[in-house]
Amino acid sequence: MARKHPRVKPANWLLPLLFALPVLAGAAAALLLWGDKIRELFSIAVKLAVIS
Amino acid sequence: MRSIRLPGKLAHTLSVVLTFLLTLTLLLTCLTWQMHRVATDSALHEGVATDSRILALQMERIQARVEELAQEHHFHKETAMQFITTDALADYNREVTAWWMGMMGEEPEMEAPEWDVSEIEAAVREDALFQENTPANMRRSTARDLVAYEIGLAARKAVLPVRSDILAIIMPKVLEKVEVPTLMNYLALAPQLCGGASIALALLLLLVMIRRVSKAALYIGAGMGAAALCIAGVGCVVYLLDIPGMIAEISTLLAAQVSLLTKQVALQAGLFAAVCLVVGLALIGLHQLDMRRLCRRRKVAA
Repeated sequence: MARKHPRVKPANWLLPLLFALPVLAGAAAALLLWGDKIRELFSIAVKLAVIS
Repeated sequence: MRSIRLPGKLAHTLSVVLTFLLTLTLLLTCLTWQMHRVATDSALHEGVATDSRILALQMERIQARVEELAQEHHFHKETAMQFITTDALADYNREVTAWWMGMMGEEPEMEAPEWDVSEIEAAVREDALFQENTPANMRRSTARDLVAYEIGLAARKAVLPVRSDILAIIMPKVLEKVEVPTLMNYLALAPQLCGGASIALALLLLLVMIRRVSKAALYIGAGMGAAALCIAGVGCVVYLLDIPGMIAEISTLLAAQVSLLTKQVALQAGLFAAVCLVVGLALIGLHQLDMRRLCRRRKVAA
């Protein structure tokens, strides 16, 4: 079988973005889904523990 | 001429999985490292608590309270303020930091340290304006209970703007259920374990791609670059949650401390991400250079 001719793929520079995408998408989804809930819970905890 | 076999499809598929795992372990290394710092690094918290901006804010708050008390109980505010110096406030901040950090150790002390107000009490009793306006039989109790105690309370609220009484109730219950020192030991191990796992994954990638090492550089570089982007992403999420802003609605003093602490943590996490990104891009660059060299060699051969 003939060997493939080597090519320089400029898209290789974008590989970090490809591997980061699932984590970034997960973080964005978590922020959209639970962002308000997290803020609310944190706000209650702060109100309970902090002296104004 | 004997041909060198290139890494096959299976090797590439395995490498993609390993690279994704490398991204996750590097991200966890950074996150657990910063969590460990926040939970155990007393120098970090002392640095924040004794920062000149924080001390100035605390001093401003205490001074305002002393002025109120001076007007209410007729004494010269300088009489009390001479004992509330920046150095004394910094010492008290160190004491309080050591106290709350000790809560996560073995046999924690539940009572928060108090500012020693005995000198303030004595000085107020000797104050000429105070003596003029306060009956002799009331001087001692007024100076002790209505002036010195209140100044001590103001200093404590400025330095520790959290309800320490709630902490004193909750912490023993938490300590009964959770082995906090053991948890802290695990937290100390976590960045080392994640870092070790990252190195192991990088070596595995090298092993899988042994037939063309530059491909291993491409995958390791991609993993490192991806970890840098993920750290930046997590930083954005924390920024969007605006924790100091939430605290500022209740306490500007605590918000200033949390904001400074967040900046210190973000700075180190940012440095980690920058190193990952630079090394990652350098490794990808090495792969690209190797491919370019290979292309040139093939053209010459053809």
